[in-house]
Amino acid sequence: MNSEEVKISAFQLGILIIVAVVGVGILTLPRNVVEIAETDGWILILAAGAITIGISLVINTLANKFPNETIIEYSRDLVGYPLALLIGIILILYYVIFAAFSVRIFGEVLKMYLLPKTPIEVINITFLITLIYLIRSGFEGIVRFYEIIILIMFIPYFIALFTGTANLDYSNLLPAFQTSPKVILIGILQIVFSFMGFEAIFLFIPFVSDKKNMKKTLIIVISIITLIYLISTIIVIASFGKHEIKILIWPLMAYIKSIQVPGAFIEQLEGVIMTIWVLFIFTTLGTMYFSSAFILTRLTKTKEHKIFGVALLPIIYILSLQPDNVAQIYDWLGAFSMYAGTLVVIIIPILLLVIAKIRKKGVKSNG
Amino acid sequence: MSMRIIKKKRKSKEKEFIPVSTKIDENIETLDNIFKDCTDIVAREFRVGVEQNHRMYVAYVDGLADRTLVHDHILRPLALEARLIAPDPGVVKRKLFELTSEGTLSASDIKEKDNLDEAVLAILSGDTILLIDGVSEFIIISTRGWPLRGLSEPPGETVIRGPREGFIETFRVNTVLLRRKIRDPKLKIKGMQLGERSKTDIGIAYMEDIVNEKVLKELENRLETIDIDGILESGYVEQLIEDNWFSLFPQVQYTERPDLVAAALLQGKVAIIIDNTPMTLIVPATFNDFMQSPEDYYERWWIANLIRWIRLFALIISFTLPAIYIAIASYHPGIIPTSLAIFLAGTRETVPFPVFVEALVMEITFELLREAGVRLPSQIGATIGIVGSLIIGQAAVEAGLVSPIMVIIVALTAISSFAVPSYNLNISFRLLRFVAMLAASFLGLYGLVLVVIATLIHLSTINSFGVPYLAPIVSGKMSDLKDTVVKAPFPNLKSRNSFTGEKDKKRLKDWRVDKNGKTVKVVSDEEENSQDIQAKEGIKTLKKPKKVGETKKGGEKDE
Repeated sequence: MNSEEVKISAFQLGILIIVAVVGVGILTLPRNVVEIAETDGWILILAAGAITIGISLVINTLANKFPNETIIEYSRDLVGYPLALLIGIILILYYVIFAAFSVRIFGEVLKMYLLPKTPIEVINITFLITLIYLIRSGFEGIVRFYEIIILIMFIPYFIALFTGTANLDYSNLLPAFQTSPKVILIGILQIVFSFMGFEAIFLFIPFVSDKKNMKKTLIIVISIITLIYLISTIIVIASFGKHEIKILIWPLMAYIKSIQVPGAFIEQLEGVIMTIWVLFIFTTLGTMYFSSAFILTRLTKTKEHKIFGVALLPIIYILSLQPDNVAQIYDWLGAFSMYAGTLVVIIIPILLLVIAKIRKKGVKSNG
Repeated sequence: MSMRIIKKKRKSKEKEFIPVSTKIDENIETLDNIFKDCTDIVAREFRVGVEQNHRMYVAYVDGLADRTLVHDHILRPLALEARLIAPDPGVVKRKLFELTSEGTLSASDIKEKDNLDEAVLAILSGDTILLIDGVSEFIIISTRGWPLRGLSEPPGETVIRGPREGFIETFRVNTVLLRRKIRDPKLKIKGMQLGERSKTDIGIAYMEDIVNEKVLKELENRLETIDIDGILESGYVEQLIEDNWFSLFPQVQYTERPDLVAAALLQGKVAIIIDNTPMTLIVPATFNDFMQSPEDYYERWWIANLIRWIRLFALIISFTLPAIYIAIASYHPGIIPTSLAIFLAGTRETVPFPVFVEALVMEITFELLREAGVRLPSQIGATIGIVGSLIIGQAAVEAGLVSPIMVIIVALTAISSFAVPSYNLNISFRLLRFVAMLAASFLGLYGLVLVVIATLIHLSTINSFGVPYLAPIVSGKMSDLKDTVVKAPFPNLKSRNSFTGEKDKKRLKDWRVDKNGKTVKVVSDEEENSQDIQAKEGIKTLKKPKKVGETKKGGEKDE
């Protein structure tokens, strides 16, 4: 695969970003924001969304300066080979470790709500093998798959989410505007990590055929993600209130579990939503997994993303089994996203853009 | 890949050359040797002219050639009528061939050739050849005519509304059916012959100014690589030209309906008409095509939408229902209402097998019944129905071998699978159903989802002649989505599918609907005159439909 062969539209990359971002994070997001800002959590989400749009535009500007290159190539141009290699390796590690944690969280959630007696190893390995099948189908296949799957994901998700809105107590959202701006500012970074996944544009913007629409698409797409997060969080907070949310591991799942549909054929929505949620994680992980294999092909200048995909499977699998329990996963994940996330999502793009501006590299563009 | 294919093109394209001798006896001997022991060849030698001094020879296949045509337009004029008029003997001697081919023969379709190998092919195709003594050329007279099956409605593709004719086994009749639908010289039907021995006529039909050139070129390349002894049915061609041999899904559409082929051609697709079969192939074929019936376009859009949704629902049911049952019964009884779960467990109390085995046995029994039903003569078919329903349905439940709910599930699945319009897509999902059942028995709903995901990944990966299999849905263009699972009202379907009709996008110019989708009042010339008299103020009424925006206002003011 190289940039001359595969072309996708900005719309398709937008879909890829939506399905790549919305995944593991949405389960814990209501708890995260409430822990930081109590009932003002929704402000955090809006602010984080705005910051994410800003960062994605920075990445887009960078990509427009080097229209046919991914970050692996243009970073070589900007900071020299050793540092570029380091960036590549950091990105691979970042994706692999995130993928491993996500697989583990996925396994734990599935075990808890859907398959209590199935060993987590079986869940993880079957999931990873199906992922391999996705990776093998190549970038174009992945994008087409996402275009189909996005409908199957979000339509039932919102139907389920709104089914329970009859019993909500919106007074749980009050009091508003009580949190000091200082707390919000400190907390934003943590919430920005819920948007992680959008940095896939580092790698995939070169494949977009209509790059001039990219800016608009990024703004729209990240606004949509913010909206999805906002609606989900507000509904969950209204359902449980700030005190209860803090003691739930996965508040969103708890909310869906609490929905009762009297008279319908399906009594508990959690089973159905769990099956839909498999798709959410699948697309998130598929992007991470493919990205890491893709970076490896770029670093080695080969086209064997299929072989790299298979080679990464045991690594991700073994890493995913390292944490002892759910609490430990979230401890490690919190620390990891704090350092690696900050590095990849914030420091690298801004640094590269600054260097590009100073050294006047790349083509001039209106991006 | 295309480079490799071109290199592999079959070498046998150049025909063997057998020259025509000026001595008719040698030619007759050659032909007699070739047609030794072929009892269906009729050959006759006769003499022409007033003095009976010119020897001629005709040969054709009995039954393939139209005998009255041979008698009335070849033998009679040559043997009888030529004797009545006596031209100048000198002229006759020099220009016997020209006189015969241009004058005496009263048949319309005549070719002059000089290779006896072509004579052999012509005879076997139903034409008649005429050899003349002393001439190193011969004449092929088109006399093809054999008993035809009447045009009837295709049993596999019946519609409530729509034409009742279907293709038949004769190539020429099929092209006629197509030509009658599209009277446009841009409808091209390129001919070729495939099969080393069968020499089957193949026609590649397309609209010259709409067709996707890449698809056409690719198709021609692939057809040229075919080097086989015989093409007996469209399936031979289909399997030799499809993109992905290992895929479960059909990548070439087949149909017996001329209206469906005509619609596909107008969308920019390519049809392959094959002699000896009523099945015509259409490429490229996408998932969407297999889910549609021509009737969708004949009925109003509400009905078409309803039917399409039902079909999609039926497809999902036939793929997943047994797997969902297995998953719920063995892993997640909590999903369904408690009373139903208890009832379900109660009915399964006497069943000695796990749910998966129970479902598998029932599904296999049904597949057996279905296969037996196809083979059985229709008189016994009813018996199988009774045996099936009584033994499988009632007795098995009463014996406690299967639960009654399982019977309902299997019946629902079976009915659903027949609601899918195309038989070959239905088979794909029938096979996948067993995979889904197996996965559900191991991992419950999670296993089922993995199978669904894998299926969707596969569907996203495969192509049909360079067009993505999920084409109109995955293109990222809104205009293509108007005719997929949903079907927009007819006036809104203005453009062709962007994958096949890129060259000429516009297909409907409906002046009655303006840009905003609002209906505009159209006034005919006579009405316009009468209105002019009524409203002498000079308010513009619609004359040329192009000024749609103004007329709307004008129409309102009139009222």
